[in-house]
Amino acid sequence: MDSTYTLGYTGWAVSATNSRNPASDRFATEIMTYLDHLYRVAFHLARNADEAKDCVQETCIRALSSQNQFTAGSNMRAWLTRILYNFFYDSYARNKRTVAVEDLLDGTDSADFWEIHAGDGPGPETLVLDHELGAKIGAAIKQIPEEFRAPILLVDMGDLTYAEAAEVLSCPIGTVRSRLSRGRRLLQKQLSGYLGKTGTDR
Amino acid sequence: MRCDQAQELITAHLDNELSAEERTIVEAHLETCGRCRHALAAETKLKQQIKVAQREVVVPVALRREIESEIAARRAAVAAKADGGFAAWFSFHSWRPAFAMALLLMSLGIFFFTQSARKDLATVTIDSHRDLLSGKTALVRYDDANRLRQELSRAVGGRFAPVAFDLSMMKLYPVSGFVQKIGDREVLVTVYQGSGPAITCFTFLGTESDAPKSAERFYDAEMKLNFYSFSQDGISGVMHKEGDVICILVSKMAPADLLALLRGKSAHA
Repeated sequence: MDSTYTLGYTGWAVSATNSRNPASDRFATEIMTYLDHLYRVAFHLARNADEAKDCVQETCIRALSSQNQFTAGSNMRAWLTRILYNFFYDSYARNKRTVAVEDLLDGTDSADFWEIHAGDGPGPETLVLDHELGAKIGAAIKQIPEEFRAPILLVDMGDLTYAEAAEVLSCPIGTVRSRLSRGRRLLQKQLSGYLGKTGTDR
Repeated sequence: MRCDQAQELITAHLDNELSAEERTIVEAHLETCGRCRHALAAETKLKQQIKVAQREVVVPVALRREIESEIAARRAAVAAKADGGFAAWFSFHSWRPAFAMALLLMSLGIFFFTQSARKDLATVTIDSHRDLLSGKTALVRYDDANRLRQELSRAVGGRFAPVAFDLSMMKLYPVSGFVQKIGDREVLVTVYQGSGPAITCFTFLGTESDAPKSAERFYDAEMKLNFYSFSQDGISGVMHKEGDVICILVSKMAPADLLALLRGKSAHA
């Protein structure tokens, strides 16, 4: 049965040799290189692992179905992220939290805020892979309202430019900038307890 | 410039997102303002921490495999169509039901509407089995028989499930499945392969009046069941009703052997 596909982890290679469309193959292969990125964004956007998995899976399906809408040579990472974000927003973000950011920051003056927290946490020289820090930052990011969390996921984790993030979020570039600025302050606030406690040890 | 006005510019400066003019302004402010230099250092540190933390999160291996399988299944379906437009067989392995149904309607509906309406059930099932044997149909395999059965059932909205056979004594195992549209009916197809002659099992909601006209009827007095047998070009099919579903087994096995197999199954049921 020469056209029978036996799947499993090695099945990918088997089926690839049977494909008749090299352009589609390259497209699918390139999508696979962004799975970690997509999962990271989904993981921090979604409420649980099932939602994250659903977002990534649906993103891949939609991307494969929309190959003709992708402009060759443009930023596939940004394109896939936009698909993912749209799916997440349509499916899971209907009850989006609306929290006034100034309430969350307790009215702390902007410049004072960073001054207060500047000494917290490890310096760059200690930024080796730290499982506990990773878990804490992951948990802290989830505490931030989605409108401020999304720019952090896209710019800081996803390496998108402000313009690309603005396209994903359907908002002006200036909004990305202001939300990112506020989002980082919120994140630092969430982390301050942890980093404050452990910072002296590092 | 006031410090609170500088805040967003500092963020954008860190991300290298400022125009030359803005950069000049914010750098001038930073030179004269220790608080904002401190703020820039703290924000830079946070960004680095986020970068490090994100390495902790990677896509689970199982999910990566599922997506690879989905891509492979999609390619298989495309390849099957390219093989002369024959049945776009479809595996439901790991596909979400809603998408599976959408793709099913798109990929199967048109073909079977035009192909099957003219043919009777005996011919359609035997043709399907023959194309599986010849490799004309791309097939996606499963390792987990229970999952295959569950997903097939889900694909028809849980209205019915494929009749399951334990053929391990004959070294035959359910390796794949898909939904086939015959006329306006959805039929669950389970493919049993192994060391013996392959068997294809077709399950659908129906009655004994669905039996092909060419079929011979055998009444099993002990089981109080009717069996219907038909053959074409060395391939045989045997049909019976089980609950509210019709089950048809098709194979190169002799009709008597298929009957014996079905009787054994009914005896267990």
